[in-house]
Amino acid sequence: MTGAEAFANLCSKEDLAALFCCPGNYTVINALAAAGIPTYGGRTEGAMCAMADGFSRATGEVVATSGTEGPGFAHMIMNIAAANAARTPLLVLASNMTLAGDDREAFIQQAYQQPTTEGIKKYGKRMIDPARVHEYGAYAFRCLKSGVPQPVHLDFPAEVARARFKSPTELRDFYDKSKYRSESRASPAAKDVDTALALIAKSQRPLIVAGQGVFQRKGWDALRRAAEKADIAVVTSGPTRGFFPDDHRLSIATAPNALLSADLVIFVGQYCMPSPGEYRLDPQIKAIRVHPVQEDLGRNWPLDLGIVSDEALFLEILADRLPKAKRDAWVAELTKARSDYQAQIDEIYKLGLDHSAKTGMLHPAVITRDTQNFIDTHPDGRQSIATGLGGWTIGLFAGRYMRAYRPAQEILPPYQYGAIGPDMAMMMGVSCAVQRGVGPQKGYEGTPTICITSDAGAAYSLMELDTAIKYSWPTITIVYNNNAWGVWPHASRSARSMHMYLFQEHLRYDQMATALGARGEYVRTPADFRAALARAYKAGRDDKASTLINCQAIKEFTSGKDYPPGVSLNAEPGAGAIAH
Amino acid sequence: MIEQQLVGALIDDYVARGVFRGTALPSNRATLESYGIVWFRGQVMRLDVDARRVRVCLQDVLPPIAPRSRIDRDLRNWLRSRESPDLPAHRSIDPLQFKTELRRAGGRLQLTVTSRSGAADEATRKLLRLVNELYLDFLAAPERYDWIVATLDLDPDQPRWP
Ligand SMILES: Cc1ncc(C[n+]2csc(CCOP(=O)(O)OP(=O)(O)O)c2C)c(N)n1
Ligand SMILES: [Mg+2]
Repeated sequence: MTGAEAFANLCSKEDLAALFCCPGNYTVINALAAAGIPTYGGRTEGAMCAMADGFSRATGEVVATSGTEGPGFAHMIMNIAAANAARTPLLVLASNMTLAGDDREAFIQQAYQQPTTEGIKKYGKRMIDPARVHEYGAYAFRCLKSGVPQPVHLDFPAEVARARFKSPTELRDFYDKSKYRSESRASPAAKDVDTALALIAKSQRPLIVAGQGVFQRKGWDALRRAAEKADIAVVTSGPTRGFFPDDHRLSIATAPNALLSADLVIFVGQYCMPSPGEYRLDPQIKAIRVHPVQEDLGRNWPLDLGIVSDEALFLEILADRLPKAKRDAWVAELTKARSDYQAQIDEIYKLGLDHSAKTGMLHPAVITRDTQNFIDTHPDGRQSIATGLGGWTIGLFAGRYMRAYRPAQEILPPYQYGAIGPDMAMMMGVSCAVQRGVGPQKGYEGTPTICITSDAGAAYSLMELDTAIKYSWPTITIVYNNNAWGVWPHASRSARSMHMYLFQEHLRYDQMATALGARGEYVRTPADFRAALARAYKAGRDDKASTLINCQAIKEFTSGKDYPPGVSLNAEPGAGAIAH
Repeated sequence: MIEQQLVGALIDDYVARGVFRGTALPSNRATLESYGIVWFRGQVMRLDVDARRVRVCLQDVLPPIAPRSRIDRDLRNWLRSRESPDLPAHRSIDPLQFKTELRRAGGRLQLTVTSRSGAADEATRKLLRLVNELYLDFLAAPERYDWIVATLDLDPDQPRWP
């Protein structure tokens, strides 16, 4: 057995859900494929890393990504950092030449990898002693599957990957996962639960912010039970949406006006903590935070009560112990705030239709509202289609209109790190998970996914349409083509700057897609867009085809000056939140 | 004096909740207490609590805005909308109990809440909640986006408080 095989066997026993890679690190990726791990190869390491992240955001599973030592690994950095900001359990693997060649520039691709991922990982190790390959594999999974996940980065010099072992006695700590890590989870202390119950009893307008910890710990049923028992409003946060449905009577995700009324906030599994003022809450609001790791309690947001606990366990205890309570006035306020918000975005949609009619170009409010309308009225049910949204103008408009009704129905590629670019690739990872029916995607096999992205964003992962088609993942990509990086208004007062923000006009992303074996659609009117979307869905469903819909727009839609309301940030927490 | 102690405790509570940084400023009038407050986007404000007139006033609540400009008009309308009976009681300002005024003194904007029922701490609470909503609701509205980026000189890479 080789070092790579020992590691691959461990990954297999840990049920590693998938590996997304480009060739390089050959010994390790071949061993992982041989061990039966589902593996996927594509066009660029950065995009494959984003695909892995997308797969995990859609399932909560541990996934791996891999690339060759120097260049392939370096190309992944933006998306490792994005995974880190989103607390994705991502296993980053890369080869690392030979120990014998260290510090000599022997052959090519020498790089010090671990310092490159400094600050964007939970744990990392360049392995040196071949006998410890299993021990470090265990180290990796202990980090990935305990507490708050983050990327783990292992690099494999050839002396480790290619080492040959004749017997298990040559491997250090060669024992099973039941011995090298624990499934034990922290339960909340009884006295803390009592204090929380007392604070909730006193509150007239309580709010749970359910972070991605609730998703990762699959605590959504307990969340719902607790909320419904005592009429507690709920909003989710994090890179994955839908584990509390937007159409629930207690959802505050599309009711920004009611947020400012809450008098108690309970953060559960909120990994990226905002600071007061970043969330649209009352300054005197009381705060409880439930988190699996004690060290993070009190960071950024002063607390009235900090509770160390596993998210799902806390919610189960809360659901059991909460006395039944009716908060009719609060529920009525939520209902009104949701309908006020709907009226506000309906108004913006009307403006968008006007702007589209006047210019003969597609306004972002129209594209995003009509996409959601397609989903809401779809005969397969509005829970079926998984979506993802990115890009600046288009992403922020999409945040207002897109909805999620079941766990992991919506993915937010820009969450917290704010990268432009990973959207398409991330949604291919989501599509892979949907086609395989992994975790919460079970039951939706065969359904195409929809990615809403920008012209700037498409540049980073368009080539991966080749990969989507190779693996028969039916993806629909809606590209908002406004000929620009949408932040061009920052240059509007300086003629010498503007060119830096602009692309050639009317580029045909649809034709690029066609050249890559996908379907291409080019649209400029709302009616054409709707028809193209319906065709794309049918082709995805029936033939596993992928489609790119090029929505031609103009950059001026970003600015409220000529085309109100223009771009703006959405209220946080809520449906359009991208920061926390 | 009791009133002023209540206000002092209230300010301490906001500080302890991380809402803003604040400290008592020296005052030479027995019935006037002042606090320095650093709030949204590092805006330095001064809170004057006039116990005799049961009036609290926040100076420099926003950077100067031109009289009769669109933002000036929108802001006044928004302030008036806070008195609407359509708002839930915990959010609205009852004009029978409180008087809200936006004034301009030497180009600087001050927001004042006077209690008609005599409770300075309640007036302070109303005022500070109003300022919080001014930033998180009024200024965060899509129509104001270009204005805040330009006027508050926000970093284009971080066009949001705090
Ligand atoms: C990789 C990356 N580069 C640059 C930025 C800075 N940035 C933030 S938004 C933006 C404009 C993006 O334009 P686009 O995605 O096309 O959006 P739209 O034109 O729809 O506004 C830029 C350059 C970023 N966030 N990420
Ligand atoms: Mg663009």
